[in-house]
Formats: sequence, C-alpha cells, structure tokens
Amino acid sequence: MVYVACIGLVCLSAFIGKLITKSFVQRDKFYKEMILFCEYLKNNIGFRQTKLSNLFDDYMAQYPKSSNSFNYLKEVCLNGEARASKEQSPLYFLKQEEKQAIINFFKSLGKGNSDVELSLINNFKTLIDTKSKDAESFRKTNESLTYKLSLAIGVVICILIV
Amino acid sequence: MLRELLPPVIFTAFASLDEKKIYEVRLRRNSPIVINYGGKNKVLTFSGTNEKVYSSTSIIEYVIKQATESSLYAFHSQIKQGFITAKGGIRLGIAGESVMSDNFVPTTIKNINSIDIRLPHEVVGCANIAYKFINNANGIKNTLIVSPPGAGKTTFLRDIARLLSSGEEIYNTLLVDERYEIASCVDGLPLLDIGEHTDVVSGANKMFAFTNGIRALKPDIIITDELISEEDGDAVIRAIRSGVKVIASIHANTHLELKDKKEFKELINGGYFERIIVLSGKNGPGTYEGIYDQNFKCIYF
Repeated sequence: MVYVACIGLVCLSAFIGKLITKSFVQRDKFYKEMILFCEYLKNNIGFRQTKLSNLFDDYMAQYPKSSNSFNYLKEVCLNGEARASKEQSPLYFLKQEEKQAIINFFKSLGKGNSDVELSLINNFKTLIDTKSKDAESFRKTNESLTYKLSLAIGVVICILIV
Repeated sequence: MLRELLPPVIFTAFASLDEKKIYEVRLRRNSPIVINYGGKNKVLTFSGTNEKVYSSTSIIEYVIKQATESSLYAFHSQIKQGFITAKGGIRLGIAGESVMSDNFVPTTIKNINSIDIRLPHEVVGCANIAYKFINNANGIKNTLIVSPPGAGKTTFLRDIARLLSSGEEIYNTLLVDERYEIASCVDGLPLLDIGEHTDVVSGANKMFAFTNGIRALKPDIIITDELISEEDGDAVIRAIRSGVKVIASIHANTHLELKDKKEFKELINGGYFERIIVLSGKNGPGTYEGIYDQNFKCIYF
C-alpha cells in the first residue's frame, strides 16, 4: 500500500513538474509566434493594407494551432480589452507586465496611417525579439532542471515516508 | 447595414422606419440627427416620442471606427479625400479639420465633426427607358448622364452597367469605380448587381484606370462616375479615340450648363458624347428631364 502511494506521489510530482515547465515552453513558443505575426502584419498592412479583421482571420487559417491566443488578441484589437476579458485570457503563462505590453500593442493597432502602423510594429518587434531570446534562454536553462527537481522532491518525500 | 454602423442606442430610433426609404443620415456633433426619409429631410426622434436624437463626439468616433473596421490605415487614402466607403457600399462624407503637408497637400482629416451617411439603393430597371437610346440598332452610344447631386446618377449608372453587361450580346464592360460607389466592392467583390460581364477597378483615378484598363482588359465599354477635372475629361477623350465606348456622369442642373464648364470644353464641344441624359430629383431621384443627341437636340422628353 505504501509502495503504491509512493508510486502515485512520484507520478504526481512528475505531473506537477510538467505543468510548471509547460508555461516555460508556451512562453517561448508564444514569442516566436509573435515574431512571425509581426512580419505578417508588416507585409499585410504596409503593402496590401489588409483590414485587421481579415488579417487575423487569414493568419489563424494559415496557423490554426495559434488560434487560442490570437482569438483573444483579435478581440482586444477590434473590440477592446474590456470585452475580450469576458473570456478567460489564454495568456496566463506571461508575466503581468509582459501581458500588458502585448495588450497595449494590440489596442494601438489600426489607429494611424500605414507609416504609423509600421513604426509601431517595428518598435514592438524590437521588444519581442528581446523577450523571445530571454524566453528561449530561460526555457533551455530551467525546463529540464525544474522537471528533475520536481521529480526529486517526489522521490525524497517517498523515501521519508518509507 | 445601418445596424452595424450606428451605436445600438441610436439604432433603436430607426426601429419604426423602413430602411428602404432612408437615403441619408446626417450626424453633426452635439446637434440633432437628421435623416432623408423618402426624399424629405426630418429630425430623427426616438420611436413613439418627440424626443430628438442627438449626435456627439463619441457617436461620431464610434461610426468612424465601425466604418473603417478598426483599420484606419486601410481607408487613409479615402479619408484624406473626405470620404469613407464602408461595407455594403455605404458612403460616408466626412467634415473636420484638414491636415495639410508643407506643400498644401491634404494628408488626413482630424477632429471629424460631421458625417453624411448615404445608403445605396439598387433600383433595378431605372435605366430601362434610357437604355433604348444608349444601345440601339446602330450600336452603343457614348453617353453622359447629367444631374445635380442626389438625383440618382450612381444608381442610374449601376443599372446601365447591369443592362449592358447582361444582354444577349456580350459586351466586356469595365467599371471604373473611383470612389467605390457604383459596384460597392467589399474585398474585391461587388455587392450590387452590375452585370455578369463587368470588370471593376475600384479606388484608382480615371486616367490610370482608363489607360491600364484599356491595355490590360480590352473593354468594349467603360462606365465611370463623376467627371470632376480636366484630367478626367482627357481620359474620356483618349478612351473614345481608341474605340472604346464611354458612359460617364457629371454634375450640372441642365445640359445647357455643360457649355459653361471650361475644364470640359474640348469634351463637350468636340461632340464626343452621342447621348446626353438629364436627370433631376423633381419627382424623386432618377426623374428624366430629357435625352439629347450630340447636337443638344432633344430626342426624348
């Protein structure tokens, strides 16, 4: 019985470790998607002057796995943060100040001519490039370590119990 | 169409009105909203009351946001000319402070204080009478539609395009829709019936659209909206000289006023237009006042 509980405990600690590291992976992945989206914005706003609603829809059709975050950001962009917040924000893996910077950018889109929009996107991309490097570096350093630590804690607790 | 453009609280005032009879909605900051309903101007009131509906800065900002679909950059070239064409072909004329560059070229309009929302109305068959004079046994005639503003020129041109492009004989028709008013294209797709064999070039000036359209699309007929400048007149002359038939419109009260338009001296005096159709709003938009030949002789009244 004790051994069954220990196995369960180790599995639980592994699961907790995975949950914690998931947010590292999602943050890294999100910033890489943001870089891609910025390039997409630059091409479509600067050259074709595609309307924002069409732009989001076309992007999500091309990259359906991004839909969750981008559905929320589309709402923020077109209808404002207040309306978008009615649904649970899928950006839980970001730090609060990071999330606010992203939201502020999407709220600012669509309010100027194409030169202004491109300038805004370029400034945002500079920020995102830095954040992306930071997120990737953090994930590489901490993903494996955190998972192993979590597992180790589970094993130690088992040993103490036994 | 109006439902998407106006704030819900304002739109409720339209509940008892027939949208087909609404031609215009005028919003002026801090003034009562005025509508043109069935050809007559009246102040909008909340349904069942005499309480006037007032416009405000926030309402005007809301309408602009809705009309531009939160994408001001996509409408910037229209805004600096003083208009926006929204979904469904709704035309918004805007008034505010013009921002000019150092060489006095308008760059944008800020602090918009009024909007004139004009709703498009398709009147299928309104050009049937004129069509017999435009397209007869001798072929298509170069035609000029003459009328004052609001007398139905655009609706008329649209119906002519439909008739010419849908008959038994196939005419390749090029519609040069500089202000997105005739075909009401949204994302490139015409929302109104302009015939099956019509190509649409939206948003380009006439000289560019005519020149490139003739080279690339080989039209039999070009239909275009208001001729405003001498350059527009030159574009028409070039097209006619290259063998393409042209049907266009111009602002004037009568055909006699055409001779006073110095910018179109060569176009009018050169006899390029074989038919001149005069419309007015006397008995509603699209009232025929007369059809004339190139010598200004009346052939229908």
